[in-house]
Amino acid sequence: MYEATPALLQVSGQTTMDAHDETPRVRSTEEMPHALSVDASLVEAVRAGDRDAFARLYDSYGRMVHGILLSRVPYSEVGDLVQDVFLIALRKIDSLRDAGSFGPWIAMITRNRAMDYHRRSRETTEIEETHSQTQATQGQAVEVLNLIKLLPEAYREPMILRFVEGMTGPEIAERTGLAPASVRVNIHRGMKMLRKKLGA
Amino acid sequence: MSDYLWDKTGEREEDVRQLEELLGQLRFQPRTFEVPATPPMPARRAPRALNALSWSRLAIAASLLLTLLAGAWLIATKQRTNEATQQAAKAIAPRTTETPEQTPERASQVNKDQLASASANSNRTALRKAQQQREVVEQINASNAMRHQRREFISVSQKRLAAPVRQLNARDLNAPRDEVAMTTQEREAMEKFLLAMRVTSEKLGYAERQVQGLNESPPQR
Repeated sequence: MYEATPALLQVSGQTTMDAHDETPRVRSTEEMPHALSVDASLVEAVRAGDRDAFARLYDSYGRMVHGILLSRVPYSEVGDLVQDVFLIALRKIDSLRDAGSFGPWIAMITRNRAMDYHRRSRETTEIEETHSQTQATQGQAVEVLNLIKLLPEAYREPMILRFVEGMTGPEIAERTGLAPASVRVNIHRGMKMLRKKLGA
Repeated sequence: MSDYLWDKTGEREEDVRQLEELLGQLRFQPRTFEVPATPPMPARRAPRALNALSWSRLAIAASLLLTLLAGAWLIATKQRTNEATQQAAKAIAPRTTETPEQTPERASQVNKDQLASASANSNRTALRKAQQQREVVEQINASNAMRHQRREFISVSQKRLAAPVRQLNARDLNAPRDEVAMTTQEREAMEKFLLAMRVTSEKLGYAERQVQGLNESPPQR
């Protein structure tokens, strides 16, 4: 989606595009190696000090990071944590051995950051407050999201990336580094279980 | 089952459409990502292996290695000194009962017998052999005298070196630098001693070989 998405982010500019208007483009399997090479060149550019290149990586992987966090932490915390994850990635980008595997690498950083969030906020009551805030704004959507969070862990992430972030199955597999077959099975099984929960 | 769930191709089911629209409200709302003014990007890293071993760890490892090497060198030096002393003691041991004062008597006795035998037979060959034997006996006397001198030298050297060697053995490896300088002097003294021992040992060995050759082929009468 690099070439299709306008500059959502600029180093010091404004967000110019509403994410809701974005129609997810289906990425064919032939495009994937090209996407990986684009990622690799962006990573190399970031390492060389090009900050715009990092803004493009943020643009490409923001949804994935957001979706992974959404499957693990309260909705109201996700926005700040996305920023945190990208700052960590920027700081550690020199430790990324294979520049072409930026996606799986940042997905792992995101999961670790979510775990870290739970470790730190174990004894606080902040979650109660955030629930009431989000329920006021997104109401029903958050209720369904909470139902998805009750699904087995393996189904949660692909389901949220698919329904919340609007990513296709092949896109999820490519970005997260998961096997396409696993993603496909998990989406279908997750959907089956969600239907049962919604029907009950 | 439709492929729409997988790659958004084909017919979309109603409940899937509803879910997409509902959950789409929670979709990622990109913010402006503020890259910090002071970039958190570190400068180009040194090679990974060098980073893993920090300088302080390297310094500790180097000092440990030096300590081990110094210890090994001290032990080796001590062993070499002991071996040399033992070899010298072995070389001296078989002849300790024989003193230089006793050998001339025995030599003169042998000479008398040989000369008597030679004159009795009037054989020129026997005379020559007797002459040779006399020379050998003189060599034995010389070697005995040398061995005696060597024993004295060893005892004196051991007395002189006893104190430094004791200090060497009892030395603290973490001692300050001035003690290390003392050790160098001790080492020089020990090397001189070992050299002297080696020279003496060679001479003694040569004399012993001469004597053994004589014993293996006794003169014919």
